[in-house]
Amino acid sequence: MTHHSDDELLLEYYGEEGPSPHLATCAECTARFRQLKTVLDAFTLEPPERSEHYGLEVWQSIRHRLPARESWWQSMLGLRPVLAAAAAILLLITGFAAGRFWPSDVQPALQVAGVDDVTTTVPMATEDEARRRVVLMTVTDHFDRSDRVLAEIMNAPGPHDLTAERQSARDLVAASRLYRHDAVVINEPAVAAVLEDVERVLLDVVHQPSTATAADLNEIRRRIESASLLFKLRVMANELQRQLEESSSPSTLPSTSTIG
Amino acid sequence: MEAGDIAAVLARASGGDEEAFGLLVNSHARTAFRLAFRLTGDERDAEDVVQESFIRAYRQLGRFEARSNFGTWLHRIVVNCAMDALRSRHTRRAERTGEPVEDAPDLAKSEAPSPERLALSTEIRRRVDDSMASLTPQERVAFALRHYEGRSIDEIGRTLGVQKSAAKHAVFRAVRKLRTALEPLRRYQ
Repeated sequence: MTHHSDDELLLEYYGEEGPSPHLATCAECTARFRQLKTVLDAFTLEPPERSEHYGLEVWQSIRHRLPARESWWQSMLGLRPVLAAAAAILLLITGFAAGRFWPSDVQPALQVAGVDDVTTTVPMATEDEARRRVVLMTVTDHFDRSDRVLAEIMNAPGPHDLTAERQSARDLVAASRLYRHDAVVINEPAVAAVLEDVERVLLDVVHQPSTATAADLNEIRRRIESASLLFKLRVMANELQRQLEESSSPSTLPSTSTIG
Repeated sequence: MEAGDIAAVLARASGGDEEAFGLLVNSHARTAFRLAFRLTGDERDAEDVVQESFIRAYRQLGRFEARSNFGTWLHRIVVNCAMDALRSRHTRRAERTGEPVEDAPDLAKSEAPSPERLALSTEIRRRVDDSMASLTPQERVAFALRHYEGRSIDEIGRTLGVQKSAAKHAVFRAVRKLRTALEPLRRYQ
């Protein structure tokens, strides 16, 4: 009788070849197969769990190491000259209007953020740069609040009383319209685009009945997931936070459009 | 993310849309980490492999064919990056010890721990880790793909870009070394 080699037993163990009739009848090969199995069964390796934010963490780690490429909004504007022209005109008009009326808002907003003396902390800051910081801080906070509302909906059991979420969404939508305008003024079209995406879903939440059924909730969740909204929100919020933290001088504050 | 969404995101990412590529990273990072960890056996190395894999995928996105499956394509990139990381680790070990590291350490000659002093399971785990570290990068990857990932020998050959017979023999060699390393423990079983 020809016995199985170790390699043949190994292929048998991994199911690479069909069941061996010989193995079923040969006590010696069966014993050797059991020994092999005992050894290989000792090799187990369970990867450590990664949180649901792991993808975001990886993206934050690598996004600045990617070779520079044209961003999506640049492509979009490049493909649509009329839209580009309209955006440029809008930018000019809003920039002009903001330049006239904004300065009175700058200092109080910075004080809220804990900056008591603007001239001491950011001596080189121009009005535009200070305004830009204020907008980015405000939008970062807005993204955090939107994230919380959407995350609550993602985790809510159905049916669910949406009264609180609807009220929060209504407030956020109202604020978002203003922030989108501000984002365009400070030349942050990528921020404006994320605000618009979030706004659409928040509007859906506003228009839900007070008590959402499981089906209603699933539909909103599907929209949140298909637009990868939470991911976009977190990426953008982290990016803005990073910029705010890293820019010891406002003059070095880059645009997310040139980064993303 | 659903299949249709992935196709749309891929199309945008291939067109140079970084944000879309970020979505792909988000949806595939955990899977990539699990694979990288099983191949390298080290959490930190696995983290590095995941990052390097996505950077490499981004660079090579132009070569990705729309009809293919992104997950399959990324799987191959992760394996290649892990192989590079293992080669680098292998070389460092060889330089540190000044000796080739192809062969399994002669664990049989080392003093077997007394069952009274040491839990057998701990010793098995240590020997498993030591024996895995003794494999060449190709043996380790071939074994991990077969044993932990459940890939067929045929798939392993395609992933590593080698003949099926070469992949098979890499697994054979790996298992022989692992069995030799664990042989001294048989008397306690």
